[in-house]
Order: sequence, then C-alpha cells, then structure tokens
Amino acid sequence: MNRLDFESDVLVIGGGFGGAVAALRAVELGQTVTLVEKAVVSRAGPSTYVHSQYAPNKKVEGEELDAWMDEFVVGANYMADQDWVEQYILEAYDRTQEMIKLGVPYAKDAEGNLRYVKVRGHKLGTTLGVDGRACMEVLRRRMKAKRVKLVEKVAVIELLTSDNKYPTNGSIVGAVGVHVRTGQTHVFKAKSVILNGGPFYPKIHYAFGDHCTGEIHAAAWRAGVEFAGMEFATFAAWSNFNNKFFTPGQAKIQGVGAHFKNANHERFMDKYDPIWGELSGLFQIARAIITENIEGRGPCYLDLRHVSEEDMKVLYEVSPSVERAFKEFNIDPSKDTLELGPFVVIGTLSSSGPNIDLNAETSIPGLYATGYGTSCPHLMSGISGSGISTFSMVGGHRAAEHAKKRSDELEMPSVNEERIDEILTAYFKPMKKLRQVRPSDIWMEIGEITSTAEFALFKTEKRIKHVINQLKTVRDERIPKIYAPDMHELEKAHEVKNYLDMAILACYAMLERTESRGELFRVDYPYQDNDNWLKWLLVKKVEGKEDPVFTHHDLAYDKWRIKPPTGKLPSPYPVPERFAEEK
Amino acid sequence: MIENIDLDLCDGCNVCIDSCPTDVIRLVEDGNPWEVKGWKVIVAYPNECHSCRLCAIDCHVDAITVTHELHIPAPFLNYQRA
Repeated sequence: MNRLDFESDVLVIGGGFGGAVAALRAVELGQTVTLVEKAVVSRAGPSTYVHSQYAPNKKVEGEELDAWMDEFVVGANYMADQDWVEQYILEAYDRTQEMIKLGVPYAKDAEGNLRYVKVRGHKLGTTLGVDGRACMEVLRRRMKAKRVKLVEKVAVIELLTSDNKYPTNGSIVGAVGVHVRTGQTHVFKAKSVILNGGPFYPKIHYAFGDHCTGEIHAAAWRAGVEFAGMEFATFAAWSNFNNKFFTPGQAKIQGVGAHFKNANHERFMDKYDPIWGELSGLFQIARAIITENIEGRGPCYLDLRHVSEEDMKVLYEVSPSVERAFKEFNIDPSKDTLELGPFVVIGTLSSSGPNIDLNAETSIPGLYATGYGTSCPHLMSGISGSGISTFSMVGGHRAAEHAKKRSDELEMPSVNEERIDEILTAYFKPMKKLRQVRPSDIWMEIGEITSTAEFALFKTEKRIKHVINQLKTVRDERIPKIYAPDMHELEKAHEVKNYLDMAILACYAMLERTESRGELFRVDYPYQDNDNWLKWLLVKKVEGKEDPVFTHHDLAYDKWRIKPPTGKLPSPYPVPERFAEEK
Repeated sequence: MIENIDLDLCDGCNVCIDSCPTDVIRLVEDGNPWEVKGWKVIVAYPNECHSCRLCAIDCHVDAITVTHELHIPAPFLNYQRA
C-alpha cells in the first residue's frame, strides 16, 4: 500500500478542544496546518463527554482576580503555577468569547441570555453548559472551511526526532501514523508539533475514554519530554450503579444533596472527610466506599429518596444522561437506592503528563502540549472537570502563537527513512507470529495487579515496589508475546503497552513523593508535608538508564501573591488495621 | 452496549462506522451481493463498546439502540483481595 506523506508548518496531534483551537489559530497566523486524529474530530475522546466549560462571565481584574485565582490555588493544594492560573483565568474569557462568536451552542435562559452557572469547587468562577460534541462540530466545520488538513482514523505511533535519538537532544521533526483499519502508513513532517492527546485511562469502558490510553503520553516520553505530577495519576469514580450501568454527572448528583449509606443505613462520609463530607472529591468518596466494603459494612448505596422533586428536575436538566439511565433501568430515585461499585485506577485526573511552560511548550523546543495530556501546571487538581476543556483551548491558542514565531525562522526539516522503517517494523511485530496472549488479557492482568486495596488505597513503599515489579514482569514477559490478528487488535496491543509504560512511571513517582497529598495517600507518610513537599516532581527518561530520573522543582512562592501553609497536616483518613504499615 | 441494529431500517450509509471512537462497527458482506441487500452492519467487537451513543445519535434512520448497560471488567473492581 502506498505511503501518504504530509508536510506543514504545524502538525497537531489529537483533535479535541485544544488541538482544534491550536489549528485554527495557526491557520489564522498564516501557517499551513495538518491535524491527525485517531478517531474522527468531534467523535473522539473526552471532548464528547463534556457537559460544561469553565467560562468567566467577565474580564476579571485587580483584587477580584486574586480571589478567582485563590479558588484554583487552594483547590490544587497550593501546587498550582500561579502565573499559569492568572493567564488561564484571563484568557479563558477570551477563548470562550471566541467560541460564542463562532456559534457554539452554549446553554441559554428563557430570555435568550447565556446562562452562567457555578459548579462544585467554585464560589466565583462560572461555567457555561454545552454539549462538548456540538462544540467540537462547530470547530470541525470551521477547520474544514479554513483549510486545515484533517487526517482522521490515523493513530500516531511515534514522534520523529531531528537526531534520530530517543530520548532526543534535538527537536521533533514530525511523526509516523498508521490508519486504524487499513494499516496504511502516514508520515508527517513539520516545523512545530502540538500534542493534544487526551488523558491516559485503562480500557474499562468508563467515561468515554476507552481510546485514550496514553499513546501520545508514551510517544512524548520515549522522545525525552520531561513529565510532571505523575504521582497524582489516580482516577477514581463511584457512579457505577447496581453493577450494571454508569452515568456521568457525579458532581451534580452530589450537588443536589445525595446521601452515601452503608449496609447498616449509616451515612459514613463524615468519618472519612470531616470537612467536605458527602461533597468530597471523587477519589475520597470511592476510597471511603471501598473501605466500608472491606470492613464488612458493604455494599454501599446512593440514596436520593429525600431529594425534592424540584431539585431532581434541576439535576435532570443539567445532566440529561442521568435521567435517561435511571429511566432505562426502571429506577425511581424517590423510592429506590442504587448500589455503588466504585473503582480507583492509575490514570490521569488532570495533573499528570508532559510539563509545559506559559507558552505550552514542553522541555523539547518546538514541541507543545495542551489539555488533559499535560500536567496542566497542576492547576486543575481538585477542581471539577469543566475546567479542563477551557484550559486546553488556552494552551492550544498559546502554542499556536509561539509555534508561528518559531517556524518563521526555520526551514522544513527532513526525516530519516531508515528510522521510519524501524518504527513500522516494530509496530507491526505483534501481527507476525501466532502467539497466545491477547491485548485484553493484559488489561485483565493490569487490573489484577493494580486494583487491590493495599495498592490502590493504602500505599506504602513496599507495596508500591511490589506493584512496580509485577507490572515490569508483565511488560517484559507478556507484552512480547501479544498476538494481533488484525489492525484493530494491533492498535489495542499498542494501547495496552503504552498504558503499561505510563502506569509504571506513575508508580515510580508515587514512590518518590514521601507525603500524602490530593490523590496520593501513603500509609507510611500519612500527612501533607508543607515544609518539604510544596514542590513538583519532574521526571525524564535519560539515555543509558533503565529507571526514570527525578528532579525536584521548587515553586516561585516568593514572587507569587498567594502564600502556601506551612507544617505537617495529618490525614484524617482512618486506615483499617490489616492495611497498617508492615513492620 | 449496542443492543440492536435494525437491519430493516439500516441503509448502509456507513456513518456509524466512522462515528465510533473505538472503531467497533463494521459493514460486512451477507448473502448474495446481487440481491437487494448483500451486506449488513455488525458490531464486530461487542466487548469494546463503551456506550457513548455517538453511533445512535448519528444514525439518520434511528436503526441503532444503545443501552447504558455496561460492565467494568471484574479485576478492576475487586478490592476484597488480600
């Protein structure tokens, strides 16, 4: 089959909000742009799952800006890059105003005015309700009209480096992709590359993220990009009901006053989180439910019977899929309770991935990243999901502007043909020889290893090391035995391999941070250590070293306006005796 | 899960095949190609559907029924293991 070659000033990998905004801005600045997406733009990844977007209702200034920033900084346990937060709040307004002009169908009230609302975690910050899919459809049409070259159903399998080294000391000159059905090779050449690869989740059919398994994270890692916040790569949820179905809109269900009860009809959340109780974060709630189950007080239930009809109406209005799911399974929330099946997995929430500066540039010059597939300068941790799509747009816009300045000074680079052949040979290897292991078998093995209470909830140095060793065994002994009979299975084989690499990296980072903060809870360090750990963990692949290399990055609190707390803050979380630290 | 694709309604337009993010739907030959319908649309990888409903939303003859029914793989839910 003939190979397809593409050449453009800017290559955008991934077609979510950030990728689309970056492509449109780059075209506006006179660049030629190619956008490659593994699915189809507007039918891809978490962008289709979005219900609302962070959208300041005015240009925030002066003292008020400090108060708006405070919400993010406190929510992120003071780990946010305050320069980024400031830029984010200011430019979030600009980006959403542009979206409104483009005709994105945001929610309006009866008089036809935009309906700004506040969601969990915000007292000042506002969001606009929108169907993410509809927003992406507007952006897709716009890209088509502006002559962005859209290449869809093509998965990028590797970035190309200027020195052909992995990790590189040079820059990124393009990428290699394959069509997910035909296997046709696509080679992309570009002066600048913008990554918008989405989160990395295990393939467990939750939250429409099944095809975001960390392909782009892993490719960036192999190329030598510096990552941040990998120790917080924990994704948790509780809205898996009656072991049958799930709904999005967890924060909104909590918002109408849901009760979480155990088998003895006790409301237990106050015991686990005395401050937030039943309004606590997803990880805190999932962890509490699992602990109740383990201690023999399960199963646990979601109880909405006391919620007024009016409040339920509001819930259904903002989260129509909740109503649809309840109807489909004949659940009357005024009479029935729902059994909860929570889970805690290794995956990005919103603070783990390539580290980016204020221009969304990674540690490799000319390689940019935005959206879920970055460390989001740690600014979203603890804040509800609506923030991430707008962050992605702000980053994409900045990346495009910076890429333009850069590409004016550059010639179109060349790519190394031998290297491309090597990449393709390695990629197609699982198809070559009949073997016994299927990609789905590896997913189950990863689940067996990581979804134990002692690792997922009650980490200690010994338990993390044990999981690293088990995951490495899967990587070294099972991955080379994967067999893929067709292109679909081949893509799955690489998805699971890439996820596994990122999961191992996350475990190393969890080992490195010796405190408990946010989604990282360690039984051997059960306190938030503000004296020693108010800093980021950066990590990189270094040539000749098997293990990742960490550095500690101090934050610029002396020049920032919001000052962090000091001292050690013990975790209120009770650890069952059988999960106490081993002597 | 995709519960049903109504093949009497389906006109083989292919839209659902492209709208599926996980790429699980296929159009395959069925019976004699010279008959009125020599093909059918199938869910080729049923275990991988993650109930996003994009196919059902995009189907212009409403031939696809998607339920919320969904099973998270057992190993990812088993926290009772010591």
